[in-house]
Amino acid sequence: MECRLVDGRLADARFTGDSCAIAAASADLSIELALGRPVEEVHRLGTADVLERLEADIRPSRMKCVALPLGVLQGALAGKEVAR
Amino acid sequence: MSMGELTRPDFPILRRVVNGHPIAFLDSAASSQKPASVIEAISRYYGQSHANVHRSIHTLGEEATELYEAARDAVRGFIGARAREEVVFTRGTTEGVNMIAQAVGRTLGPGDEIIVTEMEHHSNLIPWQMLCRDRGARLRAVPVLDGAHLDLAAFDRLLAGRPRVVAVTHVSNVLGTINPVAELARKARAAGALVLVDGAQAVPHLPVDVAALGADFYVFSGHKMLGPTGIGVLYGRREVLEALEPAWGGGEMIKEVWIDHAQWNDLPWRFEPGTPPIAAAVGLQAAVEYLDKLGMTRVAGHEQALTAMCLEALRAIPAVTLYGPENPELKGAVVAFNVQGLHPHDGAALLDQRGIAVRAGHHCAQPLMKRLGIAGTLRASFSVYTTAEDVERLAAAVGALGDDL
Repeated sequence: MECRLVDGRLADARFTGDSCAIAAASADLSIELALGRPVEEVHRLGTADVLERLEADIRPSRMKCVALPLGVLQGALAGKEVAR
Repeated sequence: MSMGELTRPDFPILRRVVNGHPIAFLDSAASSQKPASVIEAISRYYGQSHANVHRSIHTLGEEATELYEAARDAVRGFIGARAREEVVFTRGTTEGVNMIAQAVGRTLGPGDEIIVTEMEHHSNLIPWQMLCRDRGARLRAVPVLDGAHLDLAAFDRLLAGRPRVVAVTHVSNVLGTINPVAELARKARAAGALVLVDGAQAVPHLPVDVAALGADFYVFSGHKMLGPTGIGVLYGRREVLEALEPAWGGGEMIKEVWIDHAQWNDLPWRFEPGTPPIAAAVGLQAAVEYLDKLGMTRVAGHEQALTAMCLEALRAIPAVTLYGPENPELKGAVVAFNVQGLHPHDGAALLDQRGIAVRAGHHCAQPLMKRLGIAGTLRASFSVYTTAEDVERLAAAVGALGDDL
């Protein structure tokens, strides 16, 4: 997950990954959800927000596929802040 | 009629319909299904004979003890152990490996070497890693060549380092490779090492004679061989077990206890502290009797035919990559594969929509996945109740997955 911040907002983000279809779709949607938002707001996003956008019937065994990309994005943003 | 068609009615769960399809259960290497005789044996035990074993001077306690010890005798015969003292009940393969790692570990020190292989299940790797970390010992691994077989020349070279322990799987849970464990055990023991063989994927599928194999320890699980979860077996050569301090302490593993010391019980109870999984042992006996009636040579033949058929059908699909030995005669009842452009988790989910249960992921063998350069695979695995139709349905569905891409 690569991010570009402008004035404390997520201006751009992209991902590369070798993953299942659900994780790939979730990565796409997580970025879509987060783009343009201030970093603090991105940190308040949760799996439920991604699920709502995903509009798919996700089984319990695949929930971590949904949750992973947003967690990585938030981790990347936290790392960026710490580094600053 | 084939063995699969004959035995299928004995397994109540196989009557289930999953996502609108009769279930094709091709995940038996993870855990097998149970025949009615096993389910009934457990139910009968709890309904009629349950009490704690070895310590109750009353009718139910005596019945439970008799049933539990009869299960030990049944397992002894099934695996060809010379004496009942060599058959220790555990909670499963993982517990057996950990118990031996801890017991043997007390005698290890810095610089001692332990040999594993790159195709080990995590259960026969992590306990040795932990032991090495605690004792300052060194872990060495026999490489896997051509994605299928152990590098036997490397094994010989590693033995020159005089390892204290060699831990190796009998049958790979991913590749299906049947390792030459008798030869490995002979060489390792000649080099002064104790040998532990992980038989979790062998005992349910092949005739296994532990005395002939010659390993010091041989561990396996009940739930992969038609028995219940929560029971496993640690076979140990009598002389070796006699010389080993027990791994764990508790009730039943002692003869006499003072406040500051104790005298250990005889084998095999010395290695069975606490109340054992009595009902599961009774269920395991029913499973062993079921397999014995079929005959393990016939079971192996049945599963080898299915493996051959599955390999051939999947090999014909251009998008499929197969892993492990190509020759079904060198393979246990597992077929690992990938479909180009399809993550294994998605593949398994799509197959599940057609009522086909396969395993997807790293199969608790991450070092092997790293060796193969992949994140995971799909895996179809077979048991006595698997039919040619199950395999045909899998091949057709996988073929359709390939077409979709």
